[in-house]
Amino acid sequence: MNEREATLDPTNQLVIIARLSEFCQFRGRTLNERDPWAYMRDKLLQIEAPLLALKSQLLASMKKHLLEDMRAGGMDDERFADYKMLFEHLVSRGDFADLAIHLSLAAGPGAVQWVADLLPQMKAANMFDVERLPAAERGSSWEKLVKELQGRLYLDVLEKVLARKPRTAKRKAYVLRKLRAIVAEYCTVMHIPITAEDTFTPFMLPRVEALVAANLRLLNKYR
Amino acid sequence: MRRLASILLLLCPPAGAENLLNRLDLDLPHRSPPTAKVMSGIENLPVESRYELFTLYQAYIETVNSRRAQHWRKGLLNGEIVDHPDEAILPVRQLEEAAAKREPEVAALEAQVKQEKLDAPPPPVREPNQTDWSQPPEETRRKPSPAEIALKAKRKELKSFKSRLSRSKGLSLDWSDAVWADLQKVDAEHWSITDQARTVSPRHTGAVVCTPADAPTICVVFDPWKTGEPDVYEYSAWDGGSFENRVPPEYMLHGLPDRP
Repeated sequence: MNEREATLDPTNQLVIIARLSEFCQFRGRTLNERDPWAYMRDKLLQIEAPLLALKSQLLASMKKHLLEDMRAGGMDDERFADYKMLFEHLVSRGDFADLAIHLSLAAGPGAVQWVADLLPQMKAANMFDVERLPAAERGSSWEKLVKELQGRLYLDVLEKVLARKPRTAKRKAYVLRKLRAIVAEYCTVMHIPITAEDTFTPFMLPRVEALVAANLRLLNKYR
Repeated sequence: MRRLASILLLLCPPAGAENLLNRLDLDLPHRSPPTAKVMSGIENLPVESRYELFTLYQAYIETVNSRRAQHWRKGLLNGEIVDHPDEAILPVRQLEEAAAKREPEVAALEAQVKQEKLDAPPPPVREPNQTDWSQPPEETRRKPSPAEIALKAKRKELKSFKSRLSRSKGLSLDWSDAVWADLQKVDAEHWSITDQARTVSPRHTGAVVCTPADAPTICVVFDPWKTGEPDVYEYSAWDGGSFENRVPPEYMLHGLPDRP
């Protein structure tokens, strides 16, 4: 992997924020769009590419630093736990399970070679691929996070509103206005990355994914 | 226990993980170290306590926004305002309350004076009729009533407070006092709120929020002075003079329960 691949490009985060901004500002933004439901759904689907690119770059940089630290020696269990926490959000469950076994002092000195063999095969987990799986095959921690976001965004209340009466254009427009306001309020902590404080934290990145997933589930279910 | 630990790790990124991210090849200054210890402490609190902290944070945001709308400054130092050497600097909120308390008193006294003049109109002005020049001149002016004397004094007090309010606003004691007063209105049961000064010099102040209220073990500081934003700091680092250990706003907004 060359230095260019290991460098994190903040423009991916910029694109994600721009798509979310367009999602939240339907009115006045799209004079040619007549169907806000499809427009908002498209904006969420357009987040897939920059999100995957951002995670891929984070993963590439994490791989480089992990191997450097393991080869330099002096790693303790706390440092391994930090790496495990970061990798858990970036790779699939199976890859993480394979990697986590070797990220501890108990794995011994041979763990460096095992990790060096595993890392090149690992790719960033695509949340959109996870969402395409049947509900029973998705991870429990992912489902818990999406459910937390559904409660946080009052999507359960909006689903009740939609289910009560026939879904006319007027009722759907009302629900979408509420959805845009709620998501915009949730996204107030996101900023265009000008300083280090504006980049997605390990706390926020999985929540951005869960935000997109929770909204897509609602828009797909009641399309 | 392992699942609980993994869930806690999901919600509370350790300080080391953030520092790992700081090593990425970004052409930006490094992120400040996060307060993993206080965040993990908050995660271990009961839901009611965490919901109360969320409510306090929402009140804090409202306070900061309202004061910024009044053009309060950020990072204002004591040396940048002109104060009277004999009068202690009072926080802006206390000056506002003092002025607001006196305004209806002045209005009531003015109404009373007006009523007195209606009930007992002052006599017409007459020329002094001086015949005996060995005596002092006659009093032609009516003596002021007690209400008029009180009105004059009260107006003077109101004018004094309003003139003191004309100074630049945004000292640390202004911010901490305003935040403390608005947080008191939340009436929290699990958190204690105090307007506290640092133990190190300079004696910068902030609103310290601690839990449990009777025997504090977890403390954070609501201090918007430096940036003008609703910042929350870890208490021990803040008390030592640092503005580095800030609890991420996304955790305060999205990591705490927003329903009881």
